[in-house]
Amino acid sequence: MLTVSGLTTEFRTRKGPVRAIDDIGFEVPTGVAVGVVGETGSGKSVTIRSVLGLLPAYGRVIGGRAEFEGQDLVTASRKRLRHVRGNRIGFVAQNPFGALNPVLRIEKQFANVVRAHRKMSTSAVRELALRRLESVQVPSPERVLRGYAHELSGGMAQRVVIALAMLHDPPLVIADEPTTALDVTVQRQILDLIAAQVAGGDRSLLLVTHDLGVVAQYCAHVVVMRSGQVVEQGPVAEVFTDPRHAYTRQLLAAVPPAPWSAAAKAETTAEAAR
Amino acid sequence: MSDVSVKAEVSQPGPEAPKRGERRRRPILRYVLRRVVIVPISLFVLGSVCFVLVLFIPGDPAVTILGDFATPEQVALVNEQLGLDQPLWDRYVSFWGNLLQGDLGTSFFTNQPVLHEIALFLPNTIELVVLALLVAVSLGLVIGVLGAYFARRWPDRVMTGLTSGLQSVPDFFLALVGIYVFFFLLGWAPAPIGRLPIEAGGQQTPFLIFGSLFSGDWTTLGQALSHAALPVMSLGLVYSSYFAKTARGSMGTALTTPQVEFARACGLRERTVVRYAFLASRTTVITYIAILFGSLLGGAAIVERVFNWRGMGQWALDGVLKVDVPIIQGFVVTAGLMTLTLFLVLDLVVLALDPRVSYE
Repeated sequence: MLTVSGLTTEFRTRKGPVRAIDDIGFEVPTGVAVGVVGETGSGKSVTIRSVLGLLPAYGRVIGGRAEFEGQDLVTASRKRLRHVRGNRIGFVAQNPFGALNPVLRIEKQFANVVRAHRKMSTSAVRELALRRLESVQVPSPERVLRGYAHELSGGMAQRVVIALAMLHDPPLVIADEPTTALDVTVQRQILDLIAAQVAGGDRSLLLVTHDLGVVAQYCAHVVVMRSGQVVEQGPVAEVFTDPRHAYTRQLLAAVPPAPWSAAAKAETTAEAAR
Repeated sequence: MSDVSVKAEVSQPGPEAPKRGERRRRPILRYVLRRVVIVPISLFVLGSVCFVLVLFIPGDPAVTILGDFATPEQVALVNEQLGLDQPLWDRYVSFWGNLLQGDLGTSFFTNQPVLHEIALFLPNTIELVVLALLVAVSLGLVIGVLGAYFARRWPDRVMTGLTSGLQSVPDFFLALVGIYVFFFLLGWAPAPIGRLPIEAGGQQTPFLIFGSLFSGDWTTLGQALSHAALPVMSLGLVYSSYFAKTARGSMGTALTTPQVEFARACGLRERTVVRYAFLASRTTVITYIAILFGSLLGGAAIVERVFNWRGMGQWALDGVLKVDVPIIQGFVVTAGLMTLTLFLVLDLVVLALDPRVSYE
């Protein structure tokens, strides 16, 4: 579905160009969820922004390809790229309150995303929006449509963002740390929701996160990134049980064991014995 | 017993619904009232400060009127006529007493009521300032938005250079250069002799440009506009740099928000994205219009002088040089009242534009 190869992006700074990602390559097969993990600053966000053409004005892809549906997104014209964004690739942002427009009613924002790609009457837009909001389990969607983003809770706002991302039934969904800005209590619901939206059929997911537990649970493939490079990738089961790269091992070791896991129990008994 | 409690629970949403609407409306009213009440208080402070400051202006009005060779008796007589021999407190009380009745006093020199003179000069300045601000806002926004959109690339650098250039030129200097080039060298612009050509006669209606525009008097409008072009452009160009800077900053911030990124990621047209970013950053620009309007009411004085525009700034400057106390006070109070009103109106506009504001 999405094949990234040799992707290299530079940022222009006062001290000269800085390479943010260097020779990134991975694949998102059809119907598969791929997780991109790495610490802050490892280039996860820059990678997806390079793919979607969302780099700031001082950033530039200087090499590589991002092939999607038979065309290279890196060299695609603005028009082609706009057609792909939101229409063929859905994007779930990190912070829903940052992503939603604070001064527009939610209904208007649905209309904007719909009309960016096709002509549709106001009543048809409303119907589609209601259907999408229902499928992401938003209670009383009519009221949500009439209201503004700041009237919603974090979880509800992120559901609205997911509904917007799913509006055109995109075959690929890219989620950029979709739960980082949310309360711990709703993080799981949101991830389950995204997984449910993607599951079944040929839809693929590219999930960017720094949470290895999330990748283990929701993704089939994992791409481990560090300082702008891919250090290891493969099926989750393989990478997590038999990490080849020292950095992956460090990352795995940094995950706190769940309190009910055998490892945690052993640790507490050992501590108690001491 | 249980019946009653159930009823109470059921009926709660009923009365609560209108109450919520009421609660939302009342804070708005209270907020507006609070802002309106501030205006007379600020005016009182402003007027009092102005009254005191005028006392410190070097020079004696009587001496200025009579000339340096006046005898002490003559000076005393004039001071008595002007009421300047009264104790300070009495003068302060009568200043406010007259002001509250809408009487700004009489000019020491022209013997005209100050209010009458303001009615003569204020419309000229308002036209000049409004047109100059129109030029400044539109040009400044174009420069600023272009710079923000092409952040850190060559259009940004060109626009930043242009802004710094415009900002470092004094408006009256630009006016003189304009006169030299467009009147003296090229002959495109009329001589800097006022608002209309000499053959049009001395009668000038207030709001010459706006009036002739609405009444369809095209000859007068054309003449007035050609006379207004240079002063408007010199003020507009210089002050556009302020708007360019503000717009570059606020628009630059607005364009890098996650909101803009998400809009792009949803495939929204670039035109739409920029429009929303602009709407998000409009508050700073609107606020800046109010600030510059206030400062230009008197700040255009030298440009008005250069073009003999007969505006408020020119009038007030003459008043200061002649120690014409009622004129100075009249100018400060009028300019203050206009600025405060404009601030109030724009504050309310900004608030009304944003659904997030809760008026608390």
